[in-house]
Amino acid sequence: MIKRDKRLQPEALYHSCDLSQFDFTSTAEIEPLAQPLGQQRALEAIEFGVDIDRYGFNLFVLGPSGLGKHELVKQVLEQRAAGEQVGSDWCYVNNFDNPQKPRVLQLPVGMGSQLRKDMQSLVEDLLLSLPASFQSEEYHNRRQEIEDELTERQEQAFKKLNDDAEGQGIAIMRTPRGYTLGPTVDGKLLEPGEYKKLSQADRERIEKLIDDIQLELQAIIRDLPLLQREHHQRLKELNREFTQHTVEQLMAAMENTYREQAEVMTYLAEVRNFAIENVEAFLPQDGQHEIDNVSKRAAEFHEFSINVIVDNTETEGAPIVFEDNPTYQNLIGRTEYLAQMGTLVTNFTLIKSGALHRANGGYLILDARKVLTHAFSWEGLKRVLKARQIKIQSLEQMLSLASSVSLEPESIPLDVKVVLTGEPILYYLLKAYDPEFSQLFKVEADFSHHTARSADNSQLYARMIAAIQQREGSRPLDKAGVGRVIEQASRVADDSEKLSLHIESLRDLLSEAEYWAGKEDSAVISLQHVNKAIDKQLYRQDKYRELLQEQVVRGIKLIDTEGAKVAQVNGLSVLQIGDYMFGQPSRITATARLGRSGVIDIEREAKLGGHIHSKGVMILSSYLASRYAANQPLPLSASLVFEQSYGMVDGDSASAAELCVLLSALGEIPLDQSIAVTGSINQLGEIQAIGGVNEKIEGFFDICQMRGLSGEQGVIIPATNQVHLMLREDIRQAVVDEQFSVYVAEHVEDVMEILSGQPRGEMDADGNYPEDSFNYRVQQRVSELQQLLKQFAHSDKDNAGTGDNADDGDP
Amino acid sequence: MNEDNHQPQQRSVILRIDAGSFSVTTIELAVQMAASVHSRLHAMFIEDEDLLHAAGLPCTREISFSTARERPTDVEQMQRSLRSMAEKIKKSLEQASERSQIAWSFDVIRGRMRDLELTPELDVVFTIFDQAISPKAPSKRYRRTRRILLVDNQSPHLTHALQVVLQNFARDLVEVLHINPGDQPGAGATDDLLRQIQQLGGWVSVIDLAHDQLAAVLAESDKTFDCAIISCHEDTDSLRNILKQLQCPVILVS
Repeated sequence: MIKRDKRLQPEALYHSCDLSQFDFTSTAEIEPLAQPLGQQRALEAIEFGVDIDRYGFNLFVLGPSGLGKHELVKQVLEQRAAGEQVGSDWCYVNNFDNPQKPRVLQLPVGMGSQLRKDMQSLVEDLLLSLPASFQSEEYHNRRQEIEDELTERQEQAFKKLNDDAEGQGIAIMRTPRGYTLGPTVDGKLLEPGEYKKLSQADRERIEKLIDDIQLELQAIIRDLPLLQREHHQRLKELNREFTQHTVEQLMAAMENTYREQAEVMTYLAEVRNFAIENVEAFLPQDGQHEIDNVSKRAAEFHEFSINVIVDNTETEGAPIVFEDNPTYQNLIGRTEYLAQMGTLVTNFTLIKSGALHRANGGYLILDARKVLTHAFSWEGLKRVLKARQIKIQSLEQMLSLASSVSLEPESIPLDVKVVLTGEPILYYLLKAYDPEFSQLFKVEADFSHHTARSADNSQLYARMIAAIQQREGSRPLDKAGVGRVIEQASRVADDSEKLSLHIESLRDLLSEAEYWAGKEDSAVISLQHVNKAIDKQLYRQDKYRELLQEQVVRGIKLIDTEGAKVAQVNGLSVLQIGDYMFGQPSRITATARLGRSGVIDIEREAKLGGHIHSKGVMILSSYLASRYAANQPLPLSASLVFEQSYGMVDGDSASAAELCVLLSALGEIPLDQSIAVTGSINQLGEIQAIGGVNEKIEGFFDICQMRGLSGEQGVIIPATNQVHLMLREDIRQAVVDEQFSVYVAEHVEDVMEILSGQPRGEMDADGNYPEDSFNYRVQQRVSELQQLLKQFAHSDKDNAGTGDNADDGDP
Repeated sequence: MNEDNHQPQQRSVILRIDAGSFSVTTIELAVQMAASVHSRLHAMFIEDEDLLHAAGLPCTREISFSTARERPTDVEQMQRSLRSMAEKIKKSLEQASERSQIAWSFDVIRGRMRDLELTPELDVVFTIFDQAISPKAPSKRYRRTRRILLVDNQSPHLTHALQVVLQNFARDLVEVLHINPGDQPGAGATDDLLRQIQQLGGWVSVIDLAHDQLAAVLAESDKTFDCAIISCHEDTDSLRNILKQLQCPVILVS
């Protein structure tokens, strides 16, 4: 009678989908859902974040993976970006004044690549035209004049000095290292012996002559560099005159094309000056005829290259960039190096853009976890967003680790909306620990896990299924199939009144059902295909569940599923391996004796119990004391343990079972072993909802079924968990056949009544319970313990004088 | 090809270099000349006695060509300097000969360039005097005007010599001052060649002069030459005068 009142009817175990609400036969007939289901809050937040044009209003889209965050963000951004202006083209060009600091050009779309082509043509034209100009008859004659003049001036100076010296009897001779001077007689050099024979006066005269000529010779030699410089200067002027004419002619058309672009015009002026000053670079090398070699040589003129780092020619609307690998360099850009003669060299043409460059003027979508796990990406991103400009800096430069000279490219102004997607934990950790995060990501778009399983939402869910199928080009789902998918969505949500919004799971289920339908050449996906997909998914995952259940059935793990025992109860726990959860029963035992230690949680003592489990044990201790020893001390030493548990135990879902087993131990009340219990309790003895209720029931059912259902077996769950029930069909059938039962309990005394088969009994005016109630037996045992305690207290007093008082916590 | 001093019967090209005139360009020209007539090249470095005597004088000093600084010098120092230069010339010769695969030899002799015998031995095809202070290397970028003094006196190998020199100046404009053997133009050994070259393109111009105008040409202060090709039939005094006046490689043709 007690049990029957608490037993749930089969229809309470599962929320079946009402197929009559659907007026279609398959999803092919319904309009696919354009907007995501149940994400209105997130959608509005994204639209707001995208729309608001203020500093720091970047978005963080949070929610577990698989909810379709990325798709929704992309969808919203694409709609918005389509109506926005395309960003600019960005180019790095040589800084002719300081090549270490390349300059940046912002150009209208398409002009970057145009400028690059124009500059390539210019270099080729210069390579063809300048040598031709320098081969002209006019140039040749004028250059020859200058060279002849130099030679003549040099030779004349030497010749005159030589003639003068010769006339004075002094010979000027070339040595390997310079000149030497010596006296001559009749054109022949005096030998040392002859020289010694000369009079002192003659020797002095000769030395004076040599000194004078030496001075003149030195003056001539010293003047040679001046002559050379003058010659060089005149040649340079000549070259400049010819180059300027050619360069200006070639660049006139380009300057006309880009006259509206002030930055380009400045750059072209620098190009012109550089070409004029460095004309020799354009003239033939190694005696080759340049006309055959012009393209190859043009490639060597990197100074005139245009490094188009962002080319939006093909972009429609504002750019949307998703960077899948947001390393520091992939975000900020980098400067590459070439190995040349054993050293690394670089120039502005080796500057590579980052995702921020490409997204400039538009939107950048990033996975928050990846940004945070790639070294310095997060710091780099924040730095750029705060500065509102992209400065390409290598990590070595940023950390001041590099002492070698590298490029310092000019910064690029940044106007981008960054959308980070990630799990809620990341959002809340950043919010708590990174003060800059709140300044830079002011808009939170929080994705919901579930939505209500209303009739309207069921319709929308069907349309969402249709949308997925349309996108993936799969066959339609019939009405029964849709109903089964919706029921499975409730099961995934662990709530019969909710629908899971985990798009990825739904997509996987539909893909697998599509696979099985394909195997049968079915035109539509029907109920059996969805069921098969679900069953096969479970089968692939449940190796460990089977192993554990086998241990129970073989008697290795001790679980009773029949009879009654004192101080022993079947609790239920959930194990999770990857994303697969399953329930299994655990034997919980208790001992109770006279003492002062209270309830000892052995799991906690062995450091195998988590904080929440310990809290549950403390709560049940408190309930026990207040319920049965409100006016007197509770002289109890009890212990609780999960038998054959070798790992961590946490959570309070076993606290109801633990209280029951403790009461059993205390009152020596046998408990029904064919029933398992789950539920947490509060200090008032009320049973509270727990998680994983379906898996727990199924876990115990599977053991019972393997041993053979007796009709007595069942599970007690919190009444508040009833709404979460979405049990398997075989369990529902067993309940229909009265082979298995699911009971609900609101108070621990409900549980005790079911487990003990004894009523709780009503306390009379004297505070006593009826003798057939379990409360009576507990109350009696507590009274006995209190009496025993008093006796021990007297005995202690009597023995006080002898000093025989070894108190270890127990009397 | 290795140094070879033991082929006396083979035709040869002589290169004479002294301390005042060494240039790699002239060495390469000499190698080309030897290769063009399939001869061995015999290079002679003249260790100038006058320099050694001058170094022994108390009043003598050396002036650096690069810095104009005065340095004291003595005979030993000068000898070391000359030997070092001889080594350098030998090395250049070795490299240039290796490229052209010709047999070569190298000697250092003491004497004076001006006192050396100008009449070549029978087996000598060309004698090259390196007289250039700093001959201009061919420019890779600009065309120059090259001036060649060609004293044509019916030597059979003049054509060879001229061909090699013109080949060296192939990228430049060339002006040949052609001194004819007699009073009338058109009597020289190179006339045919010059005519042919002129017909091929406009890069060579020829000015024909009578032999009696040679002295005047040499005396002109503004006439500088890039190379001179002289027939050995020129009389010795005239040859000495030419060698004294010119500051460019001079090829004496047998």
